Amino acid sequence: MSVVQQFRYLAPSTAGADGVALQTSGGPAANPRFFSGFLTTPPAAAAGLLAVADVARTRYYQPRDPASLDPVVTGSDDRLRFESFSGCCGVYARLDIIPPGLDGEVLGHGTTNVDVNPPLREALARIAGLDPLHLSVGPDALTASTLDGTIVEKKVPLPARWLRGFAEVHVLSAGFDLRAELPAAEAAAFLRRLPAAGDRSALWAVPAGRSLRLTSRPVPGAVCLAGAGRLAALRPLLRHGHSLRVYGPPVAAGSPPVASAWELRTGALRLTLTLSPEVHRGFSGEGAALTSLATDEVTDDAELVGALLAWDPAIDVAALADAAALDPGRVRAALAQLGTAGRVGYDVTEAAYFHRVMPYDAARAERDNPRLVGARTLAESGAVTFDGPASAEGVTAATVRSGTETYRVRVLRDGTTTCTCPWWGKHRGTRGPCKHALAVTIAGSSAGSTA
Amino acid sequence: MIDLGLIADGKVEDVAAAVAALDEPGRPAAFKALEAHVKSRSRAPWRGPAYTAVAVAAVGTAPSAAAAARILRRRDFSPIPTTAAAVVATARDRGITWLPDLAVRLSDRTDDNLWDGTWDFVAALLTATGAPAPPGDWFVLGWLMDVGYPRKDRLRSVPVAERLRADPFLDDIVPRLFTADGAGERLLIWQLQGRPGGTLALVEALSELSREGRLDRAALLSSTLSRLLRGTDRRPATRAYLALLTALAPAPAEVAGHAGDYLRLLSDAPVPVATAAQKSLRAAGDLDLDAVLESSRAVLRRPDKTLVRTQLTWLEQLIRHHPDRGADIAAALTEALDHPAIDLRERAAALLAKHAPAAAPAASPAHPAAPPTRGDDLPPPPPPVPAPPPITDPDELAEEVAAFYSGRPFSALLPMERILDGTVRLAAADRPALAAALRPVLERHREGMGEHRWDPNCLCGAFTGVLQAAVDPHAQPASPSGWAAILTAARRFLSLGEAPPDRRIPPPQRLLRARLAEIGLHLNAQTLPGDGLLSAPGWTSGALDTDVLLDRLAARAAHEPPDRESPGRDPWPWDLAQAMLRLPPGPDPAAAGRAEALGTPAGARLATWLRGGGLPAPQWRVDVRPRPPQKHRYDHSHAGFPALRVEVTTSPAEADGGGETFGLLGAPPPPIMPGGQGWHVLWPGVLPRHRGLVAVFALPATAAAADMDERGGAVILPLLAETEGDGGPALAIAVAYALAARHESDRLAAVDALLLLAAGDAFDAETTGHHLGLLSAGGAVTVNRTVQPLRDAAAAGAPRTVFRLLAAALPALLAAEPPPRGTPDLLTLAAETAAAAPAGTRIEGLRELAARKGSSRLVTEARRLAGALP
Repeated sequence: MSVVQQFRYLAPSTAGADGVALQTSGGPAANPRFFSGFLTTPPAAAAGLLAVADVARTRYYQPRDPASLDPVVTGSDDRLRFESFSGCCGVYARLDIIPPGLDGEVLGHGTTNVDVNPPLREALARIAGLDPLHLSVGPDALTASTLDGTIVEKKVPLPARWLRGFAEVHVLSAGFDLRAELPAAEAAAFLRRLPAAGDRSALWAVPAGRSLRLTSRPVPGAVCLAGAGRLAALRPLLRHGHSLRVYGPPVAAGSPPVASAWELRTGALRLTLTLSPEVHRGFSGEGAALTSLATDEVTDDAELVGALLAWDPAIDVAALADAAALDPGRVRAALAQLGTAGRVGYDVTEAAYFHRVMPYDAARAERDNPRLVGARTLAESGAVTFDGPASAEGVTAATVRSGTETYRVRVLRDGTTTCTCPWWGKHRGTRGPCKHALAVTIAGSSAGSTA
Repeated sequence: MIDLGLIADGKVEDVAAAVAALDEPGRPAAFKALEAHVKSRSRAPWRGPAYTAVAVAAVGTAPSAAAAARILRRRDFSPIPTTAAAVVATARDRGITWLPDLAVRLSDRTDDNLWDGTWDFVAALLTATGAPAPPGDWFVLGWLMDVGYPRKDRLRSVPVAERLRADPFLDDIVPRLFTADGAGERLLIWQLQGRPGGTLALVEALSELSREGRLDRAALLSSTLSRLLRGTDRRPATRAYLALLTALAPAPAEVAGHAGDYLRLLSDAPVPVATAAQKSLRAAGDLDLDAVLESSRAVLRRPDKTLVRTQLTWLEQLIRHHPDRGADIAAALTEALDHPAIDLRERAAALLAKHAPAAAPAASPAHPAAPPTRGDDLPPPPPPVPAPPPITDPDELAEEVAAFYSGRPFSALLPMERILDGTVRLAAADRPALAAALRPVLERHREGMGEHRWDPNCLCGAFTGVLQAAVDPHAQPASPSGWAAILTAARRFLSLGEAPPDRRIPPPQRLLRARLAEIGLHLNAQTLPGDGLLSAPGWTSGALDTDVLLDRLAARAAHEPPDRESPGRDPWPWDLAQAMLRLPPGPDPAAAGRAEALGTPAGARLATWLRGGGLPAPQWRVDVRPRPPQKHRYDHSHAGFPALRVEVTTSPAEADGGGETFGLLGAPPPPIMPGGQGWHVLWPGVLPRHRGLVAVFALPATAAAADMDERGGAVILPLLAETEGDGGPALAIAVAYALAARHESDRLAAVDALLLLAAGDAFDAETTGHHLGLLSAGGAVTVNRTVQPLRDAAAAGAPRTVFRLLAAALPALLAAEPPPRGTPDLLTLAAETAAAAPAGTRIEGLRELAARKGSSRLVTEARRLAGALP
């Protein structure tokens, strides 16, 4: 079921020579105020904000007239993070304005929506010059007190698929490593060399010299670039950039397409675009955290860990493990689960989660994941039959009957699952466990708890 | 009450009369009945008079606009324009004032269906009541649709400007043309393409109205600039707004007034917009120099050559006009010294030398992409990867089979080899368990497992037959010929050396099929060894080490002496043949001794093979074949053939010892038109130590990637680069073809192979270059396509190899009259990599070309290369 998200801003966001005033709605308060101060690099910051706003309005697959949600901003300690997620659920953008880019104080912590309107976009595009520019996030006292009828209200449908993808992209990024760092000139040359915007193929690139080289197939160390046109949002910021960093999961020969993250750094800003493995595939179907959701243990840990978070810009797993009296592995699993609930995000640069609570009800979407629902149905209808105790190699096998079909699921010693269904055969675990494997996990854990 | 039957029948006047006859207290009940009636008939679409009747009844009885909209907004409703009059009349009779509100509610849509008539209905309601246009983009888009191509035929002949003047919504809508999403595309009237007015009729009309003063010109101009600045529109929309900007023809003073916007467009907008902005700005004259210089830095970094060249010219003019600011302008000019295009770098350097000698670089700047080293600087080729362990669990085998059929079957050899090995192994160990695990998977994939009879190379039937025989020993292959027939053919064409009738099936493919038949036969006969296949690869490349094979044979011989009771332990001939072909070539007397010592027939066969050095080294023969001539005027039998095709054939060496060759040497070349479904990717694993031979069989497919625009012909090249053996001429020629392939993925594969081979010092750059030049000069391949892949290869650390390749290709290219497109770019690349050339390198024809008069690009680049040669 799709829900409608309502935004109520006290005034439209504006930008001009006297500063950028962004209006907020939702989150910790109805219209919270997070920041008042100066941007040290206004043209770059404006280009970055535009990029985030662009991604929010774009559908990269089956482009249609854009209609999507406003970006969200998180104020935490010393930085502002603007995030957006494309309408096609395949591109995630985040602009981090890090301490060198801000001169002022973060007044409040939390996450809220930011109003983006066409005049603001045009005004942002006009921002030039080197002098610091005033930035405020949230209404000032004057706007908050005089309700002079400029209230902006928007209603936007909030599809479950979109929510799930927005949350899941973070869990997926947690498996990324730095693959390459390109200086600005090489980055520009590489982006220029990519195929035109209409190209939807999954390309692979490997580090070569100071740059990246396109290659015809996945090899260890390669990054996948699916739908190179989706990197267009980086272009406006490119001339302010110092370097481009590329992140991706480990790749082996013969790997299917995988997700990747492209981070443009200017010293004061970091703009990260995370791309789904294929243009037609959203992040919602990646199933990175389904196994942990299938059982209740991690849920309890997540509750505990969630209560300890305090808007940290980078969550220290070791410190959190001490505070929660859990081992780091369980904390990581708990964080992954919090990620799927939209309660933490992942920053590939810091290789750490950061605390932010999405101003939507995201937990519901993940719990209602179709694959998980199907697995629960299978497990509850007794479709799972275990072979017996684990074999000498530590493999537990089970038969799952779904309709007229019979599938065999194996749980290997390291906890990964395999199946004989075509879906698993096609993705081989790269998109999380299949419905049958999840059903075995659920049946196994309930059998374990009743025994 | 209203007779609901009248509504369904579309009796509008009767319904109107019935509504008029109702008194106010009776209306709520009538409305409820109407709503229930409409709901009950949800399947039937409401169109034409029936819709009008519903609308009249709804407006005549509804308590509010919201209630009426609830009925009329249904998706199965489709009004016709004439509906409005009756509705307006009813509303007037009833004395209600919420018709505009109803119109607003009906237009509150986000879909893009503008053709169902709702827009016309809404517009008619608004016009009749004199209300303004409702908010929302949907109404704007509908307005554009209606203005551009009215649904009333008679209006279409009226000029657009005239229609606009009479339009009641014009002033409401025009500002919103620049804010609504999707408005830009609809500013172009595609229906008028090629007719009076053309696609830009609406744009022209808007500017005409602004000239008349009907529209506010200043507002139009700044809105257009704003929309262009937004920069998120797709190309047709950008074209429309740019056309409007051009039609408005801003005066220099107006441009100067918006200089900030124009400069931003010049530095960031798409090329057509930036070009227009550049032109306007240069004509505007009086601009703030600092702003121009700031934007110049961004412009000079753009890849668009014409834009940058014009910008350089503009900056030169500015130097002349502002001699006092020469230093600042020169500082901006230095930005172009890093431009990827060498001619622009030189132009910038020349300008600097002329106007600001202090800021000019000492020499022409090095290309940023060319590494400073003189030779190749490539990472060593990756070490070989051991093959994954064999499959020993029936469930794992079932998973692999499911994965095989769920992905692209036969896209790699290794998964297939593992399945075959696992099947034999598990069938010998526990056949019922294997059958139980495999059966559901085979059932699920029974579609699409059959033989593709149009493809003579197809293995689907044989492979599926093997799996079915594993499940049921009595199953026979679906393949028309059966196992025995396949084996007979293999014996004739691979063992006895008869010339096969169908040269579309190369020997490696026959060998694969023979092995499948052999396995199928033994699965049927239930004569299976417990240790899988002898030929199972030890490395992912398909290669097998001699020691491993000897160990396998020894294990078989030791386990039980071969006798009639356990025929499965006797090595199968084709399995052993494949295993032998996977061994390192060259005589190996020590290993031969070990094989002989086994005392089995298989041991003796292997010993002979090892002693003889395996497959004899082939003698290569390269032929360049022109397209067969037309026999008569209407002979099109060779129409699809390339102008030239290079063919490589092999023959056994003179001193051939008469050992087994499996028909691999001296096989007829495969036909020019390859057909088939990319079976060649399997062959490197069949002959992992003889890549030159595989290249011979795969060459037609790779060549077709370049001269027949096929896709995927070059994916085999990186696989060949990872296998071993002498590449021979076929591999080098295949790389030449692949560099000029039609599709980017094939060209990338060529670069991958080139770099891998060069890193292993196994790349014959001269042969590749020679044939590239020959084929390009002969018009068989498009040499222009090789510029980017070669540039990539040079940048990736192989400038020396690229230079050697180019030095071999250029003589033929320069001798062609005229040299093919892309030759100047190759000369540039050669000049940029010439630092890696050995001293005294001469390129035939270069000096003569460089000595020619003129300043054509070809001659300029030839001079550059001649000057760069060490």
